Amino acid sequence: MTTQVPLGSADYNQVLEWLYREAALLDSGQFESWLALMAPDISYEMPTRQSVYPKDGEGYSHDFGFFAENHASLETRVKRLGTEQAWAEQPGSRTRHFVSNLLLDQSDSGEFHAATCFMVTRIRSDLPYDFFTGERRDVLRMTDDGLRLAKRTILFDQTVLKSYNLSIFL
Amino acid sequence: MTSSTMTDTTDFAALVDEERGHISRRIYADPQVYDAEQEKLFRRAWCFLAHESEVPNPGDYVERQLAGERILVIHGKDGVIRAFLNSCRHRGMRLCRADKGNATFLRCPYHGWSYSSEGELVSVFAEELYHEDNLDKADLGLIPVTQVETYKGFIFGSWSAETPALTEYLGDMRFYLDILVARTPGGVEVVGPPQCWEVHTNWKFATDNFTGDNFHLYTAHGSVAELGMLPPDPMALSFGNLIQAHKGHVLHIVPGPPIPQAEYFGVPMELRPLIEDTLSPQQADLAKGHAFSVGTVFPNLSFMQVMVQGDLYSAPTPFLSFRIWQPTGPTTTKVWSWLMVEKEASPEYRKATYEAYVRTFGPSGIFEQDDMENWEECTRMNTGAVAQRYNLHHGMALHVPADRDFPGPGNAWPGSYGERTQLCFYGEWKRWLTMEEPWA
Amino acid sequence: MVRVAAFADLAEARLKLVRAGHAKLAIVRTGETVRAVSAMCTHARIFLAPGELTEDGLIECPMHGAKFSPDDGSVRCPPATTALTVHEVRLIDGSVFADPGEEPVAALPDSTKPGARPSASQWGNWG
Repeated sequence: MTTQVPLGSADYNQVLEWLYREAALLDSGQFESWLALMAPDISYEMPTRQSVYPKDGEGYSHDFGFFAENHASLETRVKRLGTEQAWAEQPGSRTRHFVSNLLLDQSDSGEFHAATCFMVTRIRSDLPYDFFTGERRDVLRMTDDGLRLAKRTILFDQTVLKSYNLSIFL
Repeated sequence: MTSSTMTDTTDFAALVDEERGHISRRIYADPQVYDAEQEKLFRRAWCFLAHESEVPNPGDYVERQLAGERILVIHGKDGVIRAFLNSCRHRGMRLCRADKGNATFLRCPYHGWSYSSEGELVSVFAEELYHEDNLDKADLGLIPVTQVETYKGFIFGSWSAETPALTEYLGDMRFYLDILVARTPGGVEVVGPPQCWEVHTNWKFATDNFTGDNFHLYTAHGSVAELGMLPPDPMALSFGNLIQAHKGHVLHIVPGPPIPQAEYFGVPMELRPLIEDTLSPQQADLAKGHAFSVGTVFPNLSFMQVMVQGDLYSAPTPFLSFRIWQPTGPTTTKVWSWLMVEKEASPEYRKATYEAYVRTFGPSGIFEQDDMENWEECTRMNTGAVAQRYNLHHGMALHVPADRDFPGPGNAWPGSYGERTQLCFYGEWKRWLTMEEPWA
Repeated sequence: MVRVAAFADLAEARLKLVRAGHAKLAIVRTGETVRAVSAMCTHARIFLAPGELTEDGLIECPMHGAKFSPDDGSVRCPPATTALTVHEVRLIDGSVFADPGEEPVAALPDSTKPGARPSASQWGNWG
């Protein structure tokens, strides 16, 4: 059971601010600090999506995806970015995470369920922009150190990824 | 005997010198080369369309492509899997606009012409307004892909009636494919739909990498080497063999460390007796002795059977991926990548192999991200007129003699660091672009 | 012996890459002495010259940090495990001569021997 958390309430603002600060960390390349916002049991997923007729659902695959991460694999990704040989990010992508349309609910256990829209632009070298848009469904948990992300499901709008890689976090 | 129906003056044969390892940069960027490939290679060769496990039930279909034209692979009500151009015979409308679905009848949304799952035109709107001389439904069925054949669950198609049958085309590559996809009674099945992504690269950079390029790991994937996720000795992965199984079908096969986990490509223990029972003793022995195999079924179906750590703390875990590098332009490619697993795989193994794959390969993978970067930038730098005056270099290990005692068909060279198999691929590529019957 | 350099051109503690016949050598001057070793790191075959001796007088590979003694070629720091070859050097009338040694019969690595397998030590802790 979840209850809606009203827009403008203290809880809503706290979650929204967390999302903005998280975006700022990603856009400024502070990946270690970003990783510290993940709960130890983080599940970070992005299913693949196919274009299907409405009677067949929304087209997300439960079996396959672009991300299927836990804390260890996110840590590995962040550490890899800290080497100087992650060529996909040498030089780094310049990203801009736009997060909006927050709809917030709270479960009986106190966890926040945040649904947001995102648009991430990514540009490298002098190449054209990549645009990534979709919805995030997050589960945030309050801890002694503040909110931590326990689960993120990224519901992507593209069926064919219109970029040569996904070397960034969404 | 060479001939060319191209009206331009491009001498395709001169672009590839597979004896000396000189490859013209033009083949990766030239629109004339692209057009010639579409005409002489992709509209003739056998290309992978779909796996049977993607259309398991009658009426199931997926939209794929063959030489850049959209086709439907559809499981007929009669149990036969066919492939057709996804185009109504009336106005050419794209019949199915979804990536996949299930339909008893395929009904065009424009004027309502309807086709059975076997491709027959079964009904036409206002049929009574046609004189019988102006409508022969039997002649207006969906346009079939000229040849469609399946090998061990892999559905291939060719637009050409002249191309020999699939078994002849694959030749002894079947011996090695069996070791990967038919090593248990059930064979393999797909894990979900393919990942698809678009890269600004010529498709042949991908195949060049997947002919068995083993020696890019420590530099292209230096980030994971630095994290300790590759063996400490860069020569540890240089063992094994480069193999030309048959014409342009090439692969490498590489042993891992001398520990039981790295036998049988690292698959779980419970599957290994199945491998021994299913494969021939010779094939089973090769499976037992190796941990990695990467290769390409000519022209653009590549595979990788590898063991990787999905993260710093996990044990190396195997996965099997097949991918198509679909050329969409002289310098653009759409990648389709499937993960496959034995039908007999446990839920735990399915989860482990999936996580290992997604975390390391695919567009978000910590290995494959960097490959995409390299192929994009190679392509970019090969488009210039000045750059194209200078050939690319393939010369590693060309003087290593073949191992006449290798226990497998085709030509096998000892050592997996080398550029031999790339040149086998380009040599075959040249034959298809310049010969009427490259299979002769 | 093959002339590889003028002594006066050699800067103190700086490694210079030279060719002596078929051999590629790294030579280094310390004071009035010149020493010569095989030029490629035995770990990943990266050239050890040009470069500088470390503070403690060792040759350090720029790629992965292996260290060798210029005196006897011995390994002083991993990841290399095989010593460099030392080549005899003579100074004659201000010129440095080096002995290229015997030309190797075949330069192919072990992995090109049919049926060769990697050793456990090459794989380290992987798996």
